[in-house]
Amino acid sequence: MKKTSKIIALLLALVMCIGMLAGCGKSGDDSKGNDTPNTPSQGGETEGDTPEKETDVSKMPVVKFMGAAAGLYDNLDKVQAKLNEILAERYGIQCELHFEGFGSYTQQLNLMLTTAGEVDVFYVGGGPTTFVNNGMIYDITDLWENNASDEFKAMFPEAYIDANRVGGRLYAIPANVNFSNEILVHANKSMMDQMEIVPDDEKIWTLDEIHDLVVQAKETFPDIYGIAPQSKGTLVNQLNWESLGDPYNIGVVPDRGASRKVISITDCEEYIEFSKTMNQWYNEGLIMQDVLSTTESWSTLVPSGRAFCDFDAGAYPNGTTTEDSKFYNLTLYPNWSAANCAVRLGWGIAGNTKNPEAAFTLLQATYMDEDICNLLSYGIEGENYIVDENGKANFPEGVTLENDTWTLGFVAGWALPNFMGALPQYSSVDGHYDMIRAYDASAEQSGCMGVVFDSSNVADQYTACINAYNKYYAAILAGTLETETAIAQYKAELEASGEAEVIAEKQAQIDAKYGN
Amino acid sequence: MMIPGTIYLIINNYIPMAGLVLAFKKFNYQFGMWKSPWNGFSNFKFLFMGSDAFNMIRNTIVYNIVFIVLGTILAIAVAIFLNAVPGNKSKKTYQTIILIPYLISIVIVSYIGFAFMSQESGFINNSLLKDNPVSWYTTPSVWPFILVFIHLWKSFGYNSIIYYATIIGIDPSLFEAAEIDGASKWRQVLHITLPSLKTTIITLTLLSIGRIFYSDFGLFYQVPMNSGPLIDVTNTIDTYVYRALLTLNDVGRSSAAGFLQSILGFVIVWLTNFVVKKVDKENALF
Repeated sequence: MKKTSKIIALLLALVMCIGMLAGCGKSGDDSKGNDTPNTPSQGGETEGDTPEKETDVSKMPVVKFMGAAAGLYDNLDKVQAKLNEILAERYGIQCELHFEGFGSYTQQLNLMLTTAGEVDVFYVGGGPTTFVNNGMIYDITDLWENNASDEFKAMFPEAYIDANRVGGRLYAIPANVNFSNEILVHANKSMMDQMEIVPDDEKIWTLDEIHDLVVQAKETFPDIYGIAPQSKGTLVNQLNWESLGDPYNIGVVPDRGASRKVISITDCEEYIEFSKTMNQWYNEGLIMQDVLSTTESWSTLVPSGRAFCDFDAGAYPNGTTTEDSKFYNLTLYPNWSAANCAVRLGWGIAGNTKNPEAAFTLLQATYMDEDICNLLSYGIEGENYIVDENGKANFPEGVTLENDTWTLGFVAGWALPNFMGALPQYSSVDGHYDMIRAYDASAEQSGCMGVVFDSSNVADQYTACINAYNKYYAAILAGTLETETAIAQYKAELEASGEAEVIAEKQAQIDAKYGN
Repeated sequence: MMIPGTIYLIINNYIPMAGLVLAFKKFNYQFGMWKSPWNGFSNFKFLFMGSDAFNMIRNTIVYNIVFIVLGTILAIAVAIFLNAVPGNKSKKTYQTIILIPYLISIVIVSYIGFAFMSQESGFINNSLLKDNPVSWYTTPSVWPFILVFIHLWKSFGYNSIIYYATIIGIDPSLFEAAEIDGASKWRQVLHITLPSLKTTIITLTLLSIGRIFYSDFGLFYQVPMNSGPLIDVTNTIDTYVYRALLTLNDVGRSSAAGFLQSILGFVIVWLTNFVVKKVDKENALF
């Protein structure tokens, strides 16, 4: 028996070694010619650049498209078939569409990117830096220079394209959305109407005025929550401090980046003062007491009338509130473009793509081809949407947001490459997209525009600081902890985690772009 | 007979071991696992940085020790009680009832917890502590007890059935003889049941010890609703790694954490087995 066990143990060890060697072999096959994989073919020397237009659909290159979806995409087969008709006729390529909900998108994408050929064009959330560090994304500098049409290049200001460069090379194209946000309070419209308050669209509200408004609402409607969280477990994400796209705010530049001097969030006057005010409001019972542990956010609580209002950041130009709106937008701080405004949502090509030229062709088509923009936003015309008498996308007879089989554009068009290239939707005011563009043009620009934090040089300190962030940042900002004590603890833990080095690195990255 | 099991083991447990090299690499998606450059031990560094490194390792180990000790005592006690229940029908009913918590998804458990502990609408604050409501999700001191309670509630049914299966296998004539000799129920448990369970206890405990550096992610992340102020008492190696690497897509560092957990687990199992072997050679696992 003992002898048999030994033989089996030896066999298992042998199999493990074979497994390792087999892995070697497979990797070699997959990455053929990939030793310098991120360098695209140079001007006109490859067969991809001077293609004979392929007419046989089965021989056309197939590009795999992966997007993050907040709406429904059940009609995928029909939309893909229609998309392929257009692509075959106009671009000589084919496409496989794949969408994943936001909750599981990153995980699914990571898995798909480990195998070459699983995904070619994908949604890049939060900027390309992490993707570049991990070798997940393709250098599209030359494709952009040589293959992008002039109209495509003119779609974005040069600074927004530059923000997507890492080490001078371009890796992603920003999604065509708003590039500035205001910090505001959404107040339930029907409750405001019942209290007979009609806010002036142009008014800038103070925190004291919001306080009085919430007190009045709580007196009028005692059973509702006063202020709901902006997102799950977070009363408000960020105010006027510039974090260079770092969602954890480890080192910030106050006052919209004006001074270009990075300081600790625990020294940021606005963070401290706002937290103190929220602590007072929390103790008065104006803020939802379960703000840290609730799994709901304002988008369900405020429109449904279970909460009166919430803080948010978004693009709400004056005059965009309509009869159908569920809430008024009370501006606290006018709109500004943060340093990362052009990289929050973007699109890129997988580092291990087998056909970068075809992938770029699809990427360009999703921005520039109006029919494709409409198809990705609203699905099949006549079945998923109709063009109403105002020239806007609306639901066909008997179809609603709940039973439509393609609602990406109706729910969260900003998650697509160019929803502003598609028809406006029925509930929007006339000229909504033009208003957004004018709104962006009038926005204050961050003092650190275009600097997006790359944590790779201080990754260990950064990950340690994230732990302190998780413990304190949102809890302090929501007013659930006694501000001064909690900030002192937060400060001590950040310092012990190597915050100084992260701040120095952020400062160096700003200085590299703007000088000392 | 062994072939299917061996194939299963090879595919699921041995071949993936090759992936351990990732812990020592700066993983690059384009180069793949083997061609990515080596970077020594630097992937391990982040586990020991910052003020919370000690905290999360301590939490992981201490919670697991408490779970193992209390879990074993509770499971054995319930198994003994179950054995004393007369009638097959009631036995089966109890078995099913105590197994139910084990089958409930931890996400659902977290919502059941929230229904009890929500500050505004929770049962405890609204019915029991009306005058002095407690903000459960911002009060760290109570969470070690809550987590231990939930873990025991969820797992005792499954474990007690394993022990119960051993108890019903004990030769009934031993109990009959003891009864004739006038031994009380307690004496019978002490001198017949527990010694008969010794091998099962050792095996199950050794298996649990092997996972002492791991934690039930759902219990420590979902049940406290990922509430920031609770992190000091709810942070374990798994939740720390998840939170730290959530947005960095860092395969190397994640693998390093997993690698460390398995190596330390292996060392501890080996040491415990060594001690068991010294004390009682028959009952050692290997």
